[in-house]
Amino acid sequence: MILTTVFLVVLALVMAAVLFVRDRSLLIKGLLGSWQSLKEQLPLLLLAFALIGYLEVLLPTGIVKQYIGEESGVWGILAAGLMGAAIPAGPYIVFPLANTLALAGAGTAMLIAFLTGWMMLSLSHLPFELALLGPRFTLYRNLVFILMPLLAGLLVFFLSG
Amino acid sequence: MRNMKLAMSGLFLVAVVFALSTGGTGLAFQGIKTGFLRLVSVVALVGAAYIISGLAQVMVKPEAIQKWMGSGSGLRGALTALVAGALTPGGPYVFYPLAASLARAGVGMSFLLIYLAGKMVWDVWRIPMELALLGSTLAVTRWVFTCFIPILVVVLGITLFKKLPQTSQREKQ
Repeated sequence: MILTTVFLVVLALVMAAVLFVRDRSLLIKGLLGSWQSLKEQLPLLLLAFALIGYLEVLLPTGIVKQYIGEESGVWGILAAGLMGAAIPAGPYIVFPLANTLALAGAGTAMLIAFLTGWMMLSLSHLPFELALLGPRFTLYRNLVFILMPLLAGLLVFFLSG
Repeated sequence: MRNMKLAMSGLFLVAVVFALSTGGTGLAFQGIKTGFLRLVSVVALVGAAYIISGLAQVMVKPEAIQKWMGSGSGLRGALTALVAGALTPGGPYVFYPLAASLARAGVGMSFLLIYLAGKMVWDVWRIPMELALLGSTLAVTRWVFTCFIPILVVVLGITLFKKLPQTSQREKQ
């Protein structure tokens, strides 16, 4: 955790230094953009962490293990992939949720399928995609991407034994 | 965003009521405390992640990505689309309009597919958030076991969609 924090802080400082040298107004614009999105998403972030806290104390580990635990196999991978796709939320909700599921006993293969499903098939992307790229492209893209969570999950499942 | 806040608030209320009815105020307080401690443990990481995300938006301009992607074809074009996707900052409200403008500029369907795969799986600007909120072990595992997906999409995109070079959006115009 400390190493990750140091890495991110250093990366932020390097990026800020590059922008400071290149164009100070861009640095200010970037920092204002960061502040703006943090301000917009802060209520969601706080709610997400409060919910994560409740999930951690309320979620029965037995149920998590039964449906998406290591022993749940291919069906668990499939269920986790669909679950990821069905969550219409940003990374600030999905990542802590995955972490909580891991603590509650979800299998690694299932967690990878869950994250891949969210990344590649998220329902929250559909309105943008349909409106901007049309129904035909949306259909083709989802047909190509639909197997990816299962594939990624199976890869972890078989490689990790 | 407003609907999301309403939905999350509703879920939060359900969780509080459930905790109160099953374990009383003790459990309800424990839920809040656990969430708060989780947030405190990642607050510096989240702050840095937001700063990186904001700076990336001004460092990498969508116009540059658009210009860059229009310059390649064949395998080189596919790889360019992949890297362009990985380097595009922002959420769906940024990359879908960008993909639509690429489609209008005549970029083929297969390249758009590859571009989106690059963005969704190799998004470099999401790494700070992944490390901060997912934890380094799970984040690294996710990268290791999904990094092949965009390459697979390159193969699928080129073989399956080479006869469909334009998007429906372009055909409408």
